[in-house]
Amino acid sequence: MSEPILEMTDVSKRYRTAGGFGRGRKGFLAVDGVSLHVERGEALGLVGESGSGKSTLARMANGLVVPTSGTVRTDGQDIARLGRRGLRRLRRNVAMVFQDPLASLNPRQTVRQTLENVFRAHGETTSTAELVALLESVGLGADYLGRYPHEASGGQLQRVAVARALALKPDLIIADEPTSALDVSVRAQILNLLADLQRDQGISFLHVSHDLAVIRLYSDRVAVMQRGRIVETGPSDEIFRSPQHPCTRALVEATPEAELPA
Amino acid sequence: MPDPVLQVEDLCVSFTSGGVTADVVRDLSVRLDGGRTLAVVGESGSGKTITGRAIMRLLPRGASARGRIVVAGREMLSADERELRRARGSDVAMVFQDSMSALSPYLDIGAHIAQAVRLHDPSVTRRAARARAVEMLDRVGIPEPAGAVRRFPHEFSGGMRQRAVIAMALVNRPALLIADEPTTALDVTVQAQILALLRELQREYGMAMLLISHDFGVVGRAADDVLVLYAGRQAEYGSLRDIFEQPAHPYTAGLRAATPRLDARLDTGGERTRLRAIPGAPTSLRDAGPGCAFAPRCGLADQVGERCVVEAPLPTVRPTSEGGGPHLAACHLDRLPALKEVAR
Amino acid sequence: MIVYIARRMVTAVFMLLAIAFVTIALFFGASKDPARAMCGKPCPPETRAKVSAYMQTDQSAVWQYTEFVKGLFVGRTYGEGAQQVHCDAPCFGYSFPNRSDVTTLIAERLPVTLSLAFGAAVLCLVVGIGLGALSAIRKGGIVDRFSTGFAMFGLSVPTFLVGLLVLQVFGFMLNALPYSGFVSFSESPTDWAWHLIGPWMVLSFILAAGYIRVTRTQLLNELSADHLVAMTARGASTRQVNRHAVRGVMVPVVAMFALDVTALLGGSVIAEKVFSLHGLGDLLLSGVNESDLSIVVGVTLFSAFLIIVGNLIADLLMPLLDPRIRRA
Ligand SMILES: Nc1ncnc2c1ncn2[C@@H]1O[C@H](COP(=O)(O)OP(=O)(O)OP(=O)(O)O)[C@@H](O)[C@H]1O
Ligand code: SF4
Ligand SMILES: [Mg+2]
Repeated sequence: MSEPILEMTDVSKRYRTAGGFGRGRKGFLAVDGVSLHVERGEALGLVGESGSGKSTLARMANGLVVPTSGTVRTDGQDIARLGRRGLRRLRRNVAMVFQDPLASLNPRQTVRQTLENVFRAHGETTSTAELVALLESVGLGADYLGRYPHEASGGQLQRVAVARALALKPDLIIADEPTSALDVSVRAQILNLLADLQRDQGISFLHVSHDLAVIRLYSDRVAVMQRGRIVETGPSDEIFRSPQHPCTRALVEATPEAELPA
Repeated sequence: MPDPVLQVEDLCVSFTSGGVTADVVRDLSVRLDGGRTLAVVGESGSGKTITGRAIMRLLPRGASARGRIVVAGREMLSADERELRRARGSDVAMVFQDSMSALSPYLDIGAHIAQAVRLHDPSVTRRAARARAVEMLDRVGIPEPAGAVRRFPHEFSGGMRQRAVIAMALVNRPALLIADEPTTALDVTVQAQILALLRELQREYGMAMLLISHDFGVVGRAADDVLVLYAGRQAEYGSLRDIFEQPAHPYTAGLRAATPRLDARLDTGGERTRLRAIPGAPTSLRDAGPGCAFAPRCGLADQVGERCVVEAPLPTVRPTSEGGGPHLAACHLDRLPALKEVAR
Repeated sequence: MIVYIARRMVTAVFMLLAIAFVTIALFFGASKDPARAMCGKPCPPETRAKVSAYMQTDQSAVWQYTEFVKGLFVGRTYGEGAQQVHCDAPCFGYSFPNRSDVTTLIAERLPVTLSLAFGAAVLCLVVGIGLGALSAIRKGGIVDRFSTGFAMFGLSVPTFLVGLLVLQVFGFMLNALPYSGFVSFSESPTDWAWHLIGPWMVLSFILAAGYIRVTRTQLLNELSADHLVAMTARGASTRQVNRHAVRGVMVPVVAMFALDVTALLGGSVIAEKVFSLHGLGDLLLSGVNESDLSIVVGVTLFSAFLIIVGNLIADLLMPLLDPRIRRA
């Protein structure tokens, strides 16, 4: 078997708290000795309550946040050892999709400029045909190239954000709550899109969400986080059928079902 | 039949800006009895919040409401300022989605609740009002209520703050509680606790509750009846059971099919279940043409034909399950085909 | 609380000492010899050296500094015999051109500056908050448009221009205002105010611009804030809600006011010049012109001290106004 696309070993992140010295000197331990991996072509779901450290962990996976200790390997390479160029190469292999599409796109750039900038940042050129194909792969028409962010809906913008992530054909996409700002009907579209990308293009996913139902639908494996630690991991079906850890059980029980109460 | 706590008839809300007036809510009719919960469901911009605010006559600048709203026997739309003040916070109270911004950063929790008491009964002393606050905080499950009254909103966690907001809303025992997405900003575990608390208090006080939500999961846990809004209009109205088991509007069915479910069977021969997404994005009444606002996204519009595009459907009576109240849907189709055909 | 204030005060003392050092060092780096001005027209080198020694300006900046600090605690004596002058214990220096110690000079000038600051502060608060609030309440109305223009003008026009304009318009053309001079409050309150109206208008005109802006934006934010909608939902009247909205406006206004008042108390060089008022600003200016180290250091320190105290008061007030601002 080949190496995992992402492998994190015993990573921790301590944030320094405001004040800097005195009682708070130790800071806040957001992630506490977590080990986790994502296989090639796999979708790993990361769930947990707010403040459990999900986003910090996701950001460490592509070098946006530097771990206090532990190692992060993508494609077998230790991120900490990468130089500036290596880090750029990393960023093309590992793309990120954020929660708020409007905030993650530059309001003064058309969709075309946004996408072209991605190519330019990595010293590549692109053609209109390529851009159109890219937009079509996320279900948007060519007419979106000329639009500004305020001229598109939240779901369309999130598609643009996904297109941007796809532009350089990454191996891994880290999606941090990619659908929680979207309407129910639109959320389903984006989730289907992500699932198709995994199936058809073999892209691996680290999918962060607080919504268990979303994670269940789109993850092969699930990791449950609580207070900076991973308390349970396993195949998605197993975890949801028979959750072991009390935290997982509480989450599963609390998740409201669009079902009639028994 | 007893008089309903809330009765809304043909409510229209419109915004005027730059000399242009546009409806954002149209022809809404609702009846809600004491002790029951009506969930108002819909996507962003469908008019849920505006409807809730119209009932309290708390519309933003530039908005005006027509029609008829009766809360606990009081005509809200024709009430004068003094009557409104008497009704707000006493007959009808509100719980907001964002508990942080709903509380004044400059007052401690006790002052908020005491204010709610004294605004409606000036004869209560400050001290007695704060004692009521302690009682109320205790009732909504805040530990050490005597100390908690002196704390400020930012010193509470989200869940505790929402409890405090509920205490504040219920301190005068309103006949009607309007809860606008009361759990949306909270973690699932906390969400479940808050919903349970609301249900419990509702039973205890016998009040009616208008629960505004975009989440069918929350609705399934707490509602008796459901009103589904699409682009400011009533798409479907019925008992929880009818809405869940025999939805009569393609939008209701589509929305349910698009909601990820925890119990969904996933391992169907290696192929994952896909959600049945509704194409396109929610629109507002402003952008809707003369026909059905849902037509551009509806997979069944083809079956009906041109009628969907030229004629807005009116709510018509649908079959109900045993013991269910009225079931209405605004769709030209008489019967909804099986779910898989609903979304294209 | 007391510990906090004490700690702030200790920090303040060190800051003031540092400021004194910088002022002295800068003065020595940039200025001509103060003894020159004192020694008279024909100034033979011997006389000048003697004067210089007498004024103790022949020493290095570091020496000056240590003497200065020492003078704060034990006082300072210049010269000997008949020419000896003594400056008592908290000695901030002695001004030879004025033949007086700096503390006395500052005390003499203070009433003028205080009067100026007081009126300007009151006027700018009334005008700034009043116009700001009115334009927020009637957004887009006449008052709003007028005060936006007013604020723009006030923020962009230099003080001396406004001052000259006011002098021109009221003083000369209308013959209405006395255009210079000062009458003390105890002498005649009406004359006092009458003489100060010009500079008050100038200063408050310029300061009010900031208050208009802050009040307007802050009040607009507050008025649409959810917690005020929630207050209405509890059954509060519009009056009660508006009164509560004012609290949100107070916080930034108080912060701004603390800074402005301290700046005013430090003396307004330009306004005092234009209206020929002899306040602290004027004193500082004369100190600079006459290369009078003691005055420059004294007035600078006094202003710095006011700023530090002003900030401290603002910092102490803030948490009372806004409980979210808490000291650890
Ligand atoms: N202040 C306003 N001025 C103009 N239009 C407004 C204003 N507030 C709301 N609207 C419009 O009224 C309609 C209904 O808005 P409302 O806030 O009730 O939606 P909602 O169902 O509560 O949505 P959400 O789920 O996002 O809270 C929308 O089309 C919105 O654009
Ligand atoms: S009226 Fe037509 S378009 Fe509207 S929901 Fe019914 S079938 Fe669909
Ligand atoms: Mg809303």
